[in-house]
Amino acid sequence: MNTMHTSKARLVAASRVMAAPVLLLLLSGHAAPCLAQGNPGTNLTVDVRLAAVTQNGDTTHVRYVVVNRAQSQESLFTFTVDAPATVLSIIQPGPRTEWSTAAAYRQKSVARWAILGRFVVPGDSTPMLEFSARGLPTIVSAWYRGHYSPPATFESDPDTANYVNVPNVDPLIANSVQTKTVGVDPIAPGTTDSSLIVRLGSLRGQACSLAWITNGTLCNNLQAKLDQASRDLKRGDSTGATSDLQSFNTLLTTNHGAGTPNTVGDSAYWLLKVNADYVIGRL
Amino acid sequence: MLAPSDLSRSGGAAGQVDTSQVLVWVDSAGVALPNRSITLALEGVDQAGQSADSAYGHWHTGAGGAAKPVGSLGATTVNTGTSGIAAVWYRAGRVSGPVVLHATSDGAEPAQDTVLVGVTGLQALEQRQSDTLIGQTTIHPINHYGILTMTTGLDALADSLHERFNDTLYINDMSLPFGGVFDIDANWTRDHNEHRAGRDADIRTNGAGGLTLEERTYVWDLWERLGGTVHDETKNKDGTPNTTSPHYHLRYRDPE
Repeated sequence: MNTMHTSKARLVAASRVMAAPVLLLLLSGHAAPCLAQGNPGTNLTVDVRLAAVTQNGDTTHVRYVVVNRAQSQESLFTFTVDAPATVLSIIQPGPRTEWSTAAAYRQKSVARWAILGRFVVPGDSTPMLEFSARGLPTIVSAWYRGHYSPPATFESDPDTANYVNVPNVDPLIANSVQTKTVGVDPIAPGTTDSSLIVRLGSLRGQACSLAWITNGTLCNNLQAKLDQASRDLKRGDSTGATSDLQSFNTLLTTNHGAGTPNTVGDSAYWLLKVNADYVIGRL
Repeated sequence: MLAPSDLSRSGGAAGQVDTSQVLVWVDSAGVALPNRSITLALEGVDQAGQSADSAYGHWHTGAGGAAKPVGSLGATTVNTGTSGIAAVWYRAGRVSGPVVLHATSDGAEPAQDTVLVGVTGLQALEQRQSDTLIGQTTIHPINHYGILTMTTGLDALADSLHERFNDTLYINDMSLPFGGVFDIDANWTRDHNEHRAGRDADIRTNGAGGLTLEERTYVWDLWERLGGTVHDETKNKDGTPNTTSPHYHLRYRDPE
């Protein structure tokens, strides 16, 4: 006999106005009713305020302040901004033992801030969060996440035997709230003055759709300025195009901030003005 | 090498099969004899790490006399038929290690062959200045093996924590050298359920070598950025503190 062979083979609900019924409950000494709970990390509402966007040459610097609204149920833990243009620097907003910054998240280029201990409680806001990248301001996705304890696991449970095959959950999807803000887009090779004006018109349209500009007439007037700039450029009148873009910026400025009708929000103002300034600088 | 059966079927040992066909025959001067009955049996090598099982990290015998799971055969008796060769399927068990297949047939010398069961490709996590490897016991002295993404990720995590906080990451159990059931009670059961495929690691959070709130949060954030998830084992299921071994459990489940 011989041997054998083997062949192988997220909360907006939190902002719900508590009117008469809730007031009655409070008067009768009962606790306010619990608000609906979303996934951990999504039970907060924040305002992403664009403090400023500046440009040095081809490098754009973006500064945010993230405000955790008072009615939020969670403190702010992380703030992540999509970064189509490679991040050059992220300013550390506080001691490295209290803040962590990162330019990548799971193979994705981002600007990310994580608060390590003194989380931003409801009603409070972050210090200035700033990053820079080579490119022009654009509209990008951003994600904010509330703080909670990491989910528990109990390894002696029979169920956990199957966890070997449980796919990784991406907290940016499951435990964060997605929003839109201003980021930085790389300048595509072959970009022309004309294409930049077309791009500016597209950004104007998106800003209006996002209600970053709340006056429809103003939206149209802004586009009219861009259309005129395109026509001027087409016939080789760069002086006329420059004047049109300056008028575009004047429309933005006279409708942004205190003492104005304030129909142009911070995000729209910085997004469009800096892009228009860039084109003016090229003409 | 065959994968432990529960891992192969769950995808925990991606690309590795857990079943193999075994061909057996009675040989007489180079001729396979027809119509011979052959009896097959399996034997797990369970010698407290004193022999071929040592490399697999189980330096113990089954507690309370528990028999080491050896897998299963499609049949324990086969006939070689007219071709003189019989085929039978062998499916690996859930424990890594060598399994000996014994064959006997009337009038022939007994024969045996060894099948190796385990997860292939696991790497040893080497201790660095930034970490301390803990949890080695006399019964499982080699407890820090993982897939390459896991070991490089833990190196990066420890180095980054050390650089930022000047603290050391205490890394407890990962997986055994060839994965499979990590039976911390030496009884071949799944009491350390997730540590079977080189995709899990325990990080000490409390006591000596523990982590501050900021350090824990940093570990949590960085591990997620690297692609994994963090799970809290500082409490028991009833909510009371886990005073025995409070830790964070780090998982990585994406493809390598």
